[in-house]
Amino acid sequence: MAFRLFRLRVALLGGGFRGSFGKALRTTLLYALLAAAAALLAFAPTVLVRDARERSVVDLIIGAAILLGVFAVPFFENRRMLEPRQLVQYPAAPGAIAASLLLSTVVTWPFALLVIWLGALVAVRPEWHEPGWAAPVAFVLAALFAVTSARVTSLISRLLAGERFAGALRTAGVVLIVALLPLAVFAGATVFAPGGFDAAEQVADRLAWTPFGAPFAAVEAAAAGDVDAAGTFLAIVAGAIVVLLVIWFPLVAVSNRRIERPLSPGVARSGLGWFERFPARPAQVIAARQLTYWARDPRYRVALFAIPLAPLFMLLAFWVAGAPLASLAIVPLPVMLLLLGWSQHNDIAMDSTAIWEHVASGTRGRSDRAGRLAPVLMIGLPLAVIGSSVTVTIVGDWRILPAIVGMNIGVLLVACAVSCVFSVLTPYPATRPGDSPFVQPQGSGSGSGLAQTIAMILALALAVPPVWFAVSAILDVEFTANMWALGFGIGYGLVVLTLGVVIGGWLFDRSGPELIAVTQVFD
Amino acid sequence: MPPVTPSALPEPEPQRGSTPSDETVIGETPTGTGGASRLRPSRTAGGPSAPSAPAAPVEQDEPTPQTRSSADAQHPDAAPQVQSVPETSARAPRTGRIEVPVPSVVRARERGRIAEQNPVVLRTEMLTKTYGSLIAAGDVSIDVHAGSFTGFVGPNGAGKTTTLSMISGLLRPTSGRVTVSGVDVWTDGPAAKRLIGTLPDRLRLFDRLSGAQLLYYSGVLHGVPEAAVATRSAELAEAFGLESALGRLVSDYSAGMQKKIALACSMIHAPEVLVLDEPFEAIDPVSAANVTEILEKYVSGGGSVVMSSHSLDLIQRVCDHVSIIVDGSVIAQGTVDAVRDGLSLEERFVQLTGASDARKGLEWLSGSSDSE
Repeated sequence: MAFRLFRLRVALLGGGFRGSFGKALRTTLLYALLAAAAALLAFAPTVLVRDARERSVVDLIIGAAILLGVFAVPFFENRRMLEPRQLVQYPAAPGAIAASLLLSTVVTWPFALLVIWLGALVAVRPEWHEPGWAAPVAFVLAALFAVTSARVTSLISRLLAGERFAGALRTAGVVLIVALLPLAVFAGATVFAPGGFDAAEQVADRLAWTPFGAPFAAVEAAAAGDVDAAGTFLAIVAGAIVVLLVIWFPLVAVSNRRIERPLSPGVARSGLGWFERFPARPAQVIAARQLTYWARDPRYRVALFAIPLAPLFMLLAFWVAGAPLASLAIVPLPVMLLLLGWSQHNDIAMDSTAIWEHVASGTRGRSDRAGRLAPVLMIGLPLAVIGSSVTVTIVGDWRILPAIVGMNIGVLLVACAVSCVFSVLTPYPATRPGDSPFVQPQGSGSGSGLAQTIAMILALALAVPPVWFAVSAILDVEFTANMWALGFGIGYGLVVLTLGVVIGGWLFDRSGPELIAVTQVFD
Repeated sequence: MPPVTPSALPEPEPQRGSTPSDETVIGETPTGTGGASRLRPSRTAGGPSAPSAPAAPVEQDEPTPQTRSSADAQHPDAAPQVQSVPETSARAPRTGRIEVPVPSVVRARERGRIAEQNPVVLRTEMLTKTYGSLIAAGDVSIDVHAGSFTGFVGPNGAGKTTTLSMISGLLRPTSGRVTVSGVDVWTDGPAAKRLIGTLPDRLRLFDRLSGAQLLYYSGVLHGVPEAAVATRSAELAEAFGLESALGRLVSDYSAGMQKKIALACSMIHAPEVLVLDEPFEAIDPVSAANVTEILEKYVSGGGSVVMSSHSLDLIQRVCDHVSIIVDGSVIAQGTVDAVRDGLSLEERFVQLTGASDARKGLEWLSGSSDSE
């Protein structure tokens, strides 16, 4: 089994070079560049960072970041990796498949790049040659850890998300990377700023005790003559490898015994746009319909135009009043998210009398409410995550990131929850489908203003707790307070949103016919 | 005054029975299992069980269409039975005789008599809707039998739409009950609505979806399994002649096409009862014939249709039962033959509503004398 897999791997290595000459050339160039980059990554700190102590810290952070990447990236993107399920039809026990898959991972391009990097590290760090055994042992363990962690996370991702949600997972990964980029740039900038090095050293100290940083910490410790500490660090890595192996083997067995529920043979969902990407259940198709409408109906887009403008004007006003700009940077994002969630407080009226289809089909109010959240959350959550990272970069203190993320997500979810209830409770005339989005709706009386105001006030009031904890964590920066603000913001938001969906759904179930009557009056 | 159109006249009685046909009755599955065969076999999964089959209507003098059809299919040479219903045959009849397509009116008359013995699938009891002092519908009590095609007629503003909306769960009645196969629409909405297909009048569709998307959307919301949605969508689109339009947005459809796609959406979950408000409005004559055919096929499979229309011709032609609503109350109901009582439905309608006598005034409207 293992031998065959090795042969397969070798054949796969050459896969990129087959085909036309141009393609082979491109692949060669790409790998050459990547290999050069790997070597450069090992070589650059020796040139850029002169001080030996500082260089050890930088090495540790870079190494930990790379191992963390090896650990996390396969969870989001694993299309090109072999997986145990592909081998299930061959007469081999799950254990044999697991072992040979793990071993043969050594023959892959990413592993080759890892080896180049580690080898270059050994080559260009003469100070690590001191106890002859330390660097080889540590780096072999690091490579083993990389291999097992990539295998395990990719398999977990396949088991959890499956083929159907792989796309969503990739999107989430891209959002996270975009959100992390400004942070990384900012972190780099602070480290090289005067006085910023202490923070980096703190981080390095923490990372040393994780399996990601431990191999590099072990080499450092051994080079410094502290063999006991080196042994401890190596034990951490070895322990992590053992844990991953213990997860890996049963996981392969499980994976090879289960399959995803297959799509029914009669299902041919093509040409249905968003509907193809959602399962055929009421809440999900309502979500798909809502997304289709956001894409096709200009009324929804026009409502979004004002959202970035409002915080701009607020900022301008504060700035004129003379508030410090750095702390003001926290303000725009929650305001935008609040407006985004709140903007859906009349979404039933936007459908006009077409809502009869939901009433006549006996759709549960909960499904209706939950499905309608899709577009707002799909815009709002990435905006909250990426925007928080930008906010932190502007403010200039990355330690408050958890609090900011917690606050923003909390505010978004609370605003959505309020919209959920109010769109059923107080529908007021909206621009009719097909009308120009700039047309003033007919007969908008006092009801619209009142509903808007109350919804906004309620959203603001409900948003106070997460904002309170976040602000206190921002004013008095402390790790636990920040994590609490993050957890509380998300948890509180989810609880309030669930309540909103349940209450809104209950109201919808009770008042479906009345909603039709109201929309008929507007129409 | 428009004279009674010839096509609306009831067919002469002798024609029935004199043209025996061994064409299979259009039905979903011509099983020969007595009364239960009339119940629609392909119902939405998860719906409550079918209404209990009638005790034994078959044992009486009238066989059901399906028992007859299967009998005929087994014995092609069998003599026409007691009551053989001529069926429209687009295909070549096996008798070798030139067969004139039998108008739907004959089938309707025959169906009416059979359906009367079927169980009641939709029942309203003292259904009332008042707006302040205005009574939009007062004590409407109607029974709709399985396999019947019931027409709702009445003058403008008589309460047809109000009543139909209350039946389909879109308008909350002030008092009264609506049950579909024994399930109360207003206390167990989701379950009852699985059994009802609705086509309201003058309500919008989600018209920013394409036709295919709208069909899929309605199917899933009504709880149709995903695999069935695809095949049913395709078949419905074909039946209504909408295949080429499925990819276009419903908002770009013509009024008649919108009506047809809405009708298709209302049928995708294979309901027990179709509640159609003005289904033929804005539909061209060819499509109307097509839609009529689809509805008749649905009814012959055991479904029931309740539809409102202004066109008495149409009601008389395709419906087997009729209810006349005036000022919110049902003033006559029963089989079309019973209600019209020897007259044409239009004459009877005018007689009942008293609309003919003396719309006095408006003499000044008669125009100048030289207009003739």
